[in-house]
Amino acid sequence: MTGTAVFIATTQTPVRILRLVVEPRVSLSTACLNLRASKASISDAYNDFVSLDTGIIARHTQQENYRLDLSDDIAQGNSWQLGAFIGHQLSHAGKLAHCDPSAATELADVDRIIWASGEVDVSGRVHAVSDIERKLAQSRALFADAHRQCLPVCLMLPEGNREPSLQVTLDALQAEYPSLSVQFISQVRFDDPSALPPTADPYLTLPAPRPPAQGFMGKYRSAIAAVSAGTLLLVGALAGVKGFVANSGASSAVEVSMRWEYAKDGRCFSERTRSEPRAVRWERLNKLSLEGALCRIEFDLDKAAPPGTSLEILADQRPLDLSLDRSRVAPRYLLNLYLLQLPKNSLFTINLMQNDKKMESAQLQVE
Amino acid sequence: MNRQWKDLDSATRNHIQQAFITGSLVQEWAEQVPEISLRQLFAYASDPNPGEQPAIARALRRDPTTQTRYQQVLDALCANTLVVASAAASVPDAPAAGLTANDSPQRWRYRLQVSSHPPHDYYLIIEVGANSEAPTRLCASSNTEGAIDLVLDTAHRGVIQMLLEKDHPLISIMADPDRIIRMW
Repeated sequence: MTGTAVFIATTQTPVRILRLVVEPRVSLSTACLNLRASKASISDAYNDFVSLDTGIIARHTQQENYRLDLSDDIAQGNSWQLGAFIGHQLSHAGKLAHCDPSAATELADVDRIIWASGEVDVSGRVHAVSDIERKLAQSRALFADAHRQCLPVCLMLPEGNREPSLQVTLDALQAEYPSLSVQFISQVRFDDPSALPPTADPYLTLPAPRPPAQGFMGKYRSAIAAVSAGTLLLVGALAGVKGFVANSGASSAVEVSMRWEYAKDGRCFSERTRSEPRAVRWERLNKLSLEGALCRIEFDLDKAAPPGTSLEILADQRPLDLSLDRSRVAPRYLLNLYLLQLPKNSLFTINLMQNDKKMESAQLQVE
Repeated sequence: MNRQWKDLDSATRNHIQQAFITGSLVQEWAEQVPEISLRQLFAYASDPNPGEQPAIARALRRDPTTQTRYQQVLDALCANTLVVASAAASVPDAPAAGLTANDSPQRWRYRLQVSSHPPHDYYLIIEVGANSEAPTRLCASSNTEGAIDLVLDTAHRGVIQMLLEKDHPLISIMADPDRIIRMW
């Protein structure tokens, strides 16, 4: 089962939350290292962060005794609190990706990454922290790995850290790793958005699509958290679609197949179902109808496609950002629909490109 | 030049024999001295943070004489050295639990808990009563499993909670109903 990997930014190395579980029979919450009987330096502070009387977690979860396993020690400071908060929020919703210590950096079974640094007080306000630039520098290997694996990475930072000098660094990082997105936040809420009705949520807004970049590798898109007015909510909600697929049309020299992932309850980060692959019929209208929420569509290019072949997806004549997985035998393009607020009956245009020249085209309608 | 025994005069023979006897006595005396001296055990028990002492730890685990001497040191060390009754308290789902006697100056309660999740480590939890000082050391002993001495973590909110791997020697000692737990 895939989920979100949460990394706590530190000045040494990004520290991954390996596991977060309830320990009902103990007296204190404990932060441990690498799933071993070894305490992290922040263990006592973590207990206070969770505790009902001094912390912020137990009042939401009604659980006071947790075990948090980290991939590395965190020696000091409170900037781990935002990552820990997000980890609890995701774990409570069943969306936190757990892993063995040996696989902390392998990002297996991960569909997105959250990288966070910030101090959180008992009322949920997020306070500025120091050394953000150094923490970013120490995380370059993680960003590169995520980039190679086409994983969206969301950097969660305190609003109080929004400064021009940091923005320059972030812009440079995003240019280098287009899968990065940045969210500045001033307040966190524990609400689980997956429990909300699958309609537009007042707190849910999504970043405007980024202008198309040069080549598909420049068209990554992440933005996996929904943020509005400085309020953090994780995991988006989706409008449902229904029906079936009806394809007809001619064949092409280059075959493209598509398969889609959908979820009946709008939860695109868990319990989603993947369809069987279907061929895209060029110069035709491909209708796609589902009973559940459409989360993502994968487009697989024919492995015999000549070099320079690529895909382009447009909505309302505007190119959409695609993730490209080149680790496969043939290129796979991912269209993450949960990142987009698309109305029902949206019409997509699928263009098969050869060295930036359109060779084939098809329409895809989602009902 | 080599000289043989038969060539020695009587005085020289006596001198050599006396040297041999003295050497043998020294060797015999040295072999009777225990590996860990009382002074070492006292220093170990009274140091709040003795650090790694593998020789003492090994002797406590395996040598009944050292175990007995160490218990004597603990009993003599100070008035706050406490014997905790092993069967005085039972806690549901806890493999072992105990608390100080009613007439003890400190109110400490300990229990061992198994983690609910792999790799199923153990938690040693010591709760410190109001108006009591937190212990800094624990010695657990059993006739069959030997003894082990632990430096305890600092108490947080009146609780000392330590994680122990499932093959930690304390676990097997705690499984003995006749164990003796001393904390000070």
